[in-house]
Amino acid sequence: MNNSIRKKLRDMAFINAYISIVDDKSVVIENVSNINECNDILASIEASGYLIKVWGSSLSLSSYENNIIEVNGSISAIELEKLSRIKGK
Amino acid sequence: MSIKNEYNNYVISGIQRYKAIKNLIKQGIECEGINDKDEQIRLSSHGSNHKRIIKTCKKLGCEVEYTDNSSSCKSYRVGILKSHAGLVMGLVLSAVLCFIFSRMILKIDIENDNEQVRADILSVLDENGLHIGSLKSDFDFVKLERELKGKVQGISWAGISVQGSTIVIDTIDNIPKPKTDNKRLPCNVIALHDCIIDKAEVFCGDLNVRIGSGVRAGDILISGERKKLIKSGKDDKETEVTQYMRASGRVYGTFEKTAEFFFPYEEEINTKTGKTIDLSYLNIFDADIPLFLKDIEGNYTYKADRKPLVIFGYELPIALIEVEYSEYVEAINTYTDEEIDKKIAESTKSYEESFLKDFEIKDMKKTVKKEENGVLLTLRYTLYGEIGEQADIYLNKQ
Repeated sequence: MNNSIRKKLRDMAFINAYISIVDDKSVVIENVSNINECNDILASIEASGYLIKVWGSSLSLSSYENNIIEVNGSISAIELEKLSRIKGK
Repeated sequence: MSIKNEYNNYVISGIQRYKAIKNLIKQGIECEGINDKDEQIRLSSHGSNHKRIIKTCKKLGCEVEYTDNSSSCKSYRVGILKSHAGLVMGLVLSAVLCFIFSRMILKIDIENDNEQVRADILSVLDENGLHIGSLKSDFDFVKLERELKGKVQGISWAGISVQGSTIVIDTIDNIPKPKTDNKRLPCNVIALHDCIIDKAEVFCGDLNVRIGSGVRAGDILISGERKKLIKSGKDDKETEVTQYMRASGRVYGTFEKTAEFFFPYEEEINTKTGKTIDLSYLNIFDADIPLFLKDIEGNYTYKADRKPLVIFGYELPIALIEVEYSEYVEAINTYTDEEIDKKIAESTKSYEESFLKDFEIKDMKKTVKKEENGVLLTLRYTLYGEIGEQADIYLNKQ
């Protein structure tokens, strides 16, 4: 029950990690809180309680206002992990 | 370094570099091309964010280097060109081809429906070195026009205009002369050969020769011109009047005709080896582009089959030409005496059937003379037949 209320509240507040995969050259992630790593093959981004790993080649990031990040390059895979699991919460 | 109001490149190094990026994002600073390489984060941002970026990085103890983007813009553009090398090469190649083809003749358009005239025009152009692929600047088109008017039969005028890579040849056909009916014109019957007259049948006109007499070629046999004395006036004065008519009749005579043939002992003949090569050409307009790389050596006869590309019933000027080359070798054939005798007999028979079928052969003397390279055959015929021909009389205007 608590979970569903939390989910609804997050939806209403627009604080979810909205991930838009435009094509294999561009992915847009909203509500980014931190960039953990960004090299040629991996961009590791924290957004709204998730760790989003974008794999590919020749990767680079562009940051915009309102905590929006665009990952550019040749994208091959996107991984999602809940941050609470990683931190053991 | 002065900071221009345009994009700058930054290199942020230090342990806290990711924290600096996090702070930049939180501040809403727009950055592009964020990439971590060799423990240095590279990014570019607008000059208006310069102070904030420096302040944030310094606060976290990170080192910041920045460069003006103008130099990197160039390298960026070069990088784009490098990554699209095929496109750039294609553009350069197409520009070069456009430049070359704009100076060449790629199509010859002849505004005439007569196949013979078209072939003659192409032949005259080819004699002057103008064909598909020639350079336009090499020709004097006024001179070519004059040559076409002089050499091509069936046209009275030719004009050449250059439209891009196409040569347009406009022509005006000859106006055919009306056929004149000369059946009502006066004429003589003249002798075609030097001969002795044996028989004459006169239908109209006066016989000018005697039977048994000899005449030379061109002599009048039956005359269409008759002179008369006519009495006229009160005193019956005689005046000479010339009356013209169309002479006709058959005059037979005996005459001689000589023919000579030479039969060489050795003759070069082409013998097929049985080896064939099938090759294809891409035909675009009048240009044949070979679709093979190997060289063909030797002597060949060829047979070409053109397959045009047809779309919705419309034949495009693109075709595939399949050519079958058959190899042959040149060999010298030596004839024996028997074979030459056989050829003599065949030639004699063929000559008589082709040229002497209208005459009666009264006598034939055959002389065979052996020479160094071959045999010279001389045939001397004594023939009997019709030797008269009608020839119009052209009157002087008075």
